[in-house]
Amino acid sequence: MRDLTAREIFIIAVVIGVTGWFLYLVRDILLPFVLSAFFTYLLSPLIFRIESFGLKKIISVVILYLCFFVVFAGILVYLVPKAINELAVLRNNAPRYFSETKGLLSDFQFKIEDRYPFVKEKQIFDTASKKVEELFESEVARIPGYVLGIFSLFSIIVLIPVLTFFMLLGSAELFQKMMEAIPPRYVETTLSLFYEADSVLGRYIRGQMVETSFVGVLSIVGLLALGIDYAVLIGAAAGIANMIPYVGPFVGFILAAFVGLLEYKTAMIVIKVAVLFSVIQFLDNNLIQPIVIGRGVNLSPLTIVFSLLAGAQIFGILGMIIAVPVAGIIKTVLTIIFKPRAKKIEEKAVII
Amino acid sequence: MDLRDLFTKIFFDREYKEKITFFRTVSLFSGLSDRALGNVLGIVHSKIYPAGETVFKAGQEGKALYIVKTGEVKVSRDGKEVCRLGSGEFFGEMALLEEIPRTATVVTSKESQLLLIYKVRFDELAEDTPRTGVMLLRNLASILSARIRDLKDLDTKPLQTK
Repeated sequence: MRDLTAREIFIIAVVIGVTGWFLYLVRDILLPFVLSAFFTYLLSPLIFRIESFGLKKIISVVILYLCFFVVFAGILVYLVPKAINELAVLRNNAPRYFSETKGLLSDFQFKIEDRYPFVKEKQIFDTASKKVEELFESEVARIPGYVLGIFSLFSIIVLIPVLTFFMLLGSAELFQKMMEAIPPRYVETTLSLFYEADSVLGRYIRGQMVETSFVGVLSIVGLLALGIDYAVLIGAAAGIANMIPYVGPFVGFILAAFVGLLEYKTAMIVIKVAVLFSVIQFLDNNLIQPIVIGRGVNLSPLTIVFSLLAGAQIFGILGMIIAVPVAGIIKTVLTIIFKPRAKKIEEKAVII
Repeated sequence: MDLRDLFTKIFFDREYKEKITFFRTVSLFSGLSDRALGNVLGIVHSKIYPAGETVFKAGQEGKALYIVKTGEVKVSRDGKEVCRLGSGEFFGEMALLEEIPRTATVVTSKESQLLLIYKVRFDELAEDTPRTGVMLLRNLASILSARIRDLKDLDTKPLQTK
């Protein structure tokens, strides 16, 4: 292929500049499109699987949507009202939980203050508990706002599914156009690089999503069976926290044990919750992880905790959500760049 | 039109049948079921090359296998033409096993539609559908073994590549 002339480079630069400026102007409406593209990327392999029976693309997409519809309709009808209800109850009960916890703590406080009078002089306990109370009240009250602030209800229910539908329909065609546009000499290297990244990263993200849903659903079912309050909220939190190895499983356990203890006031409930989460962890480690994670990147717990905190520092809640996938992307790129050459089998070519 | 035809027309992809029929002519895919070929279809990319276009040069690292769908390509080594490959034939199969430099240069002699299978995707397919993977690797192995048998003066002296 010939080299680009200065004029062509100028035109390309202008096009990129104008496109960038335009995207900046419409940045507020981009999120549903970006998320739809992300879902399209995640769901494409499933569409290929359905299509491999010889079905038309549109039929495959409709079948996938019907399957999701059944699952999501179930979630919408059963879990969402429950979760919203739990949030409302939690908001009402938060001060009571706090005072109960404070009651337990104040005994402890008196004992300490008896022994070390300077603690009382400095009012360490009072200041600390006041700060915690403030934080707790303001943060808990804001939880539903966080969720709805990131995604409006309209974009979740209507916009994203519709956009994803059309992207799934058109993605193969778009890909084919790109394929034809790439100069022949670069086809092999560029697409191979793309697929190497996809093979590692795609598996990682899909694996995490499957694992999150698995742990989340099992936790919810288990907690409901044990009769723990806020089963849906705690189960969902356990599923999401499960992305952090070692630390994640404890989050669900501690939340559930705390709520169970306040509710039943016996140690038995803590043991039951511990058994439940141990069983879920066992199933996850031995059944799900070997299948879904496979060759995908494995981030060390240290990396995950660091990226979560870094994400929170830079972008807040949204940063924490995207932190782990972004760390995954960086690790994938590094893995591909510094990939050790596959060891070749050196054989003397004596043919027998 | 009977109901079954109508059903087929609404739900099934017409091109799918054509593609599968073409795959049946490729020796790499022999013995694969329709369903397995359907899976292979998901990892195949097609690209149209104008006549006289270089597909790859000897020495470049190979990352994909090519199947000639339509047209014709010319394979040459050290500037000398080795053979021409037409519809249903394939080349660059070593890339599916090892990422090693290409041993020949391939140029299209007519406008050609080539199908590409990348090593990465081939490995994924083999992992996700092991049955299909075993069949494909077995076919690949017997094709390579046939080529070794075809090498001239094989029985007079063993090859020493090192």
